[in-house]
Amino acid sequence: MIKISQLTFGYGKQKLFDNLNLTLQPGHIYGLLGMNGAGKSTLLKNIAGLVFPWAGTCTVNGISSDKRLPSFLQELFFVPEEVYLPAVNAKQFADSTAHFYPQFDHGQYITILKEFDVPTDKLLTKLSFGQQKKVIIAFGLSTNTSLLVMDEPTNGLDIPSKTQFRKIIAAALTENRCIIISTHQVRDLDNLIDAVLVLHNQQIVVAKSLDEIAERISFSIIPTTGTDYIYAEESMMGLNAITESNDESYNKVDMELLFNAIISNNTQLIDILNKPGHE
Amino acid sequence: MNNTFNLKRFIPLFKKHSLEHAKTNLLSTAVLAGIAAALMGFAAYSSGGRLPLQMQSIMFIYLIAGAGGIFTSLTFTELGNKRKATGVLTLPASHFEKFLVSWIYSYIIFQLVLVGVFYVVDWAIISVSVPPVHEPNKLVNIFDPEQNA
Repeated sequence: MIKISQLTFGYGKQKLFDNLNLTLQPGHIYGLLGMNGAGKSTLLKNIAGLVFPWAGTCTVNGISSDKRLPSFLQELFFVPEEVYLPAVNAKQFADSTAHFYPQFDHGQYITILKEFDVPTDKLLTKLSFGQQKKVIIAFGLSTNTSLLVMDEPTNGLDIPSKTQFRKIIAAALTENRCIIISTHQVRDLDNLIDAVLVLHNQQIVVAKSLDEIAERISFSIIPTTGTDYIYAEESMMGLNAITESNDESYNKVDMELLFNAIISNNTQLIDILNKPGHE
Repeated sequence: MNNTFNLKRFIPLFKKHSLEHAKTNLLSTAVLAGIAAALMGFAAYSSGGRLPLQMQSIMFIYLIAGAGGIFTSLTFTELGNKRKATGVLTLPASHFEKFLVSWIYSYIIFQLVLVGVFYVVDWAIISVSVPPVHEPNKLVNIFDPEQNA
């Protein structure tokens, strides 16, 4: 669905991606993780055709994203980190914008707005930042585009709304749809995503489903005297450790620990995760 | 699908642009009317209630050049604002369709509104001004080259 090949991009003289490769498939919710300034938003902008690669290509359903053709755009919805909405109410916004998305579902839009508790008759410019974000998320989900890209969607949402957000996103996933969510708040993606992408050192260093990760490594608390681990962080209970998985028992991925391990340039972990033959 | 121009996309795009810019456009029209009234009112007052055809033509030229320059320069300001640009650029319409909507507003609709506002204000100023009896004010015909010479 999304194929990024040899992508090189940066701003001015600062290179953010160097020959980056990535392939994403429909039917998944991808969590894009990276440190501040790693280029998460920029990668999403490359996918949406908002910036043009220095070298390499980015295609969505075989169409090059940098051309921003209507046939490409009507299958993509981009929820930016900083939202701008016109001085109309939520209903008028849908009435004036839904035409452009052939699969738009008005009923779904109203339902999601109700779940988010956002008034439909109030001017969007009079809503709080969090409510505006909910409107654009509701609209994006209701477009039913095959690709939904969300840049830091949970920024500005209160805690109950984050829980609702998880439920709504999970319900909106279909086998023909691909959802990409970027965040630096790793915990916001717990119980939401089914695949993780880690952007680090100008590359996607890990692009794996949580199931695959859980098959290869285990997350557990071990005694502070333990040494048989790939990566560990001290905690109240002992060492919060990542070890190589030896069995197929259920194992929940601790994304914060995994992310910290990857950005600490733990090559052993990255090699285990990227080892071929476990696809 | 025609990725350059499609009427089924263009009409909703025009409507969306009109709806979302209605408030700004109405305010701009009010400001234009205010400036036109101030300019022509001052001109009539300072020349003893007289508003000759040539003066009206000059006022029209000032207005179309000044307001036209400002309005046209603001047409694509959304693209210079990161928050606004994302919505504009990712809206499923072609570059040509987006440009055409802006062109229609900044060229055709702007001129129609300007001419309308000019004549309303000009007529109002002429109606309330009291020129010398032997020099009554007449409404200029901006489409007549002889009057504008």
